[in-house]
Amino acid sequence: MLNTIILLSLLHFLFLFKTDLPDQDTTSYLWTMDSQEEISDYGNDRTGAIFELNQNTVLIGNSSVEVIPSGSADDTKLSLPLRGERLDKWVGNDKMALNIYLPEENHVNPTHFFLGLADVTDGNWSWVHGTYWDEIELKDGWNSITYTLSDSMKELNKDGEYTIFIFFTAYLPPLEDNIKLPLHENFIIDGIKML
Amino acid sequence: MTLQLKYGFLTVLAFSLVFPLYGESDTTKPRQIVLTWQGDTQTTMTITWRTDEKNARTAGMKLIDDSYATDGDHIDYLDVRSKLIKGGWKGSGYESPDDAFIALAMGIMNHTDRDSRFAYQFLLNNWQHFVDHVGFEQELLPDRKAWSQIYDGIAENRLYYSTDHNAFNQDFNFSDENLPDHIHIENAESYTFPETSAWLHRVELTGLKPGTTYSVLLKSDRIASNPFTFRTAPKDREAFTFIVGSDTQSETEERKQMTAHAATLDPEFIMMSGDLVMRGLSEVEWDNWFDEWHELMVTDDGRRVPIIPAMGNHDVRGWIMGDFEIDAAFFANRFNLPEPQNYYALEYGDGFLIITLDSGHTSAFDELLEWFPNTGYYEGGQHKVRSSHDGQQRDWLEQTLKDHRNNTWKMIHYHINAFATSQQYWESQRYGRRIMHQSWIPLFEEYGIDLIHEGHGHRLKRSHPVKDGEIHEEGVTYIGEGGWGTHMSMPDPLWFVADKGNEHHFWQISLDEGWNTLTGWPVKWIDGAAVTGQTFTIEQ
Repeated sequence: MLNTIILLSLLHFLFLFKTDLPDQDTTSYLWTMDSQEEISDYGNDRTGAIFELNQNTVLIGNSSVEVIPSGSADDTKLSLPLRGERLDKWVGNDKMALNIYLPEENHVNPTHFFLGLADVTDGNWSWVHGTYWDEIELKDGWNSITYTLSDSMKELNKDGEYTIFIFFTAYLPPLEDNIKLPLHENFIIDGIKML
Repeated sequence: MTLQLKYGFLTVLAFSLVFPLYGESDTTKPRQIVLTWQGDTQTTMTITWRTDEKNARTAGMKLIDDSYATDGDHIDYLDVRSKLIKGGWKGSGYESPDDAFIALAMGIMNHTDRDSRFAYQFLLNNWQHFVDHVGFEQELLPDRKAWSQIYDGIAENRLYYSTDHNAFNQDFNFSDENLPDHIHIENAESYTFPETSAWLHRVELTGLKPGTTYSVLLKSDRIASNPFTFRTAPKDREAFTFIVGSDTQSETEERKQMTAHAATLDPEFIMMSGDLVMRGLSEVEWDNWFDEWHELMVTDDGRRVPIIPAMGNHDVRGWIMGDFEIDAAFFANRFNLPEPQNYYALEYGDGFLIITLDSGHTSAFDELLEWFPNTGYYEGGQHKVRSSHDGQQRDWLEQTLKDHRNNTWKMIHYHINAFATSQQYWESQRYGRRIMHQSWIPLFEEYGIDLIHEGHGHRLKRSHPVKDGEIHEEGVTYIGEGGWGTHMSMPDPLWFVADKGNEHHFWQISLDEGWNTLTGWPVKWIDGAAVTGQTFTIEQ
């Protein structure tokens, strides 16, 4: 009996930290952020960020990814390999969207989001282009960050290999001082798709 | 089994008593262990390591923390900023520049919910920008040395060493009391510097025996490192092997594999000719580098290998003519090197002379102005800047070579490649190369330097022996140019190039018994495996 009560309490506790029921249709996503296999390909571009699966705050599929910033890097970065099926889905679209959860309790959440693209075909490395996010008013909780791709970011060679870089950045106010503030509190991302 | 059951309760009780001591410790296991030589390679060794001390504070942190405890949680960063821009520290009612700086730090603590150390480092790292673009007075910046003195909270750090190889194999259960005679203790000197969040500890061991392997255990509070060994240079001219390479900056899988492979070659030391990291003041990158070095640069029999590092442009903020302590803070403070540290000389064993030079990254600041108008220059943007190559460092180099004129073997390494294998840079000789050819190369040739290692070019090259601008059997051999994990290119077919390639690589160099012949080859890293390149020899 006691075990049952403890189990029910635990389930109740877990549900308290769950958001609304996640969207299970993940077919339109390039990165679903649902498996360890997927995040083993993630890079941080020397920013020291760590990426871990998270089952408590989920928007699509079964899991999300918790981003753990280094606390000392000016930008927190996520780099993702873009090739094969994902590249097929990328080409021909105008926009990319990323879901991000900004915890209310954080003192400093990212406020700016840059998307960069590099051509790494055959082991080479050349910068293609980058774009700033389509600014929206950010709120605590889930936000959808969208990027309008430049022509050079859209017109990719389907046989090539690319890396995308997403920059998560905060600034010490006022913004016009242009001084980046290293992130040190965790936040969540879940799902990248083309629009 | 019977014994475990019989004393099971006692075991659990003992574990419960001991575990909280470890669980609540204020420090962490010693890590990022680095070995360097500051003195005689036969009888000394300097060992540096890092711990994370939860409660440690510097004098500067103490000043900020004390002010914060009074009324710091009411300080608003934007309010302080606004006052200081309008009225300066005097007009804003602060009693001193330090008080104004402390107020800024407290404002940042409140905005970020981080500690005094973060606030101090953050202000320091961005200070020039705050002065140039925000409008703070330069004089607000505190005295970095005084503020970096450790005030309190550092655990007791000790180093135990012995010539007995099994001294520390009993799982650290020995106590400091009644240590056997063969185990010696040194208390570490603890330090930090403003740009890092690390708490560092160093011990210089002296009076060691030549050609001897020592076992070492580091303890920070009650937490011990895994034991390791090191080896002093031999007294006699025994055969030995060392590795020289550079440009580990890229944090690639190849870099890790190559570092692990280098350790398996049982080198006596590693010479690293610069560009260890990509961004010289990025603590994340240095942490990754030191973590990898700690984990991988251990020989098959558990021996840690000393490093002899040179600075590269990427190891220094601004690439050239930086301040050694500030712009190359991690290089200057994490490696403990002979004076003057940004360039220095060592003799391995019975006189294998190794000179490390600074190819203009920090050694330019305090030199005399009279040679400035006639110097070559780095073409960084539109600015002609002073370089070190024909100033104080050049004089030091000449004197050092005079002092060691009779050494049988002389080797030099530095970062920027004077003998660049890019046609463009060979012809234009920018980035200090012109004055390297005017001021350094003649000394190399006059004093009969046997081998030079250069980095920077990201190419594999070995030159013919070169003297007076042509191939000459009594000339100097140049190898390089950096490929320990970074991206690579193929050298152009220039007249001095004897061997070339575009593979990742470092160089394995060996001297035979008696030190009559030096033999070297590039260890190329191709598809995850080591491939031996073309061998060269230099005879005495």
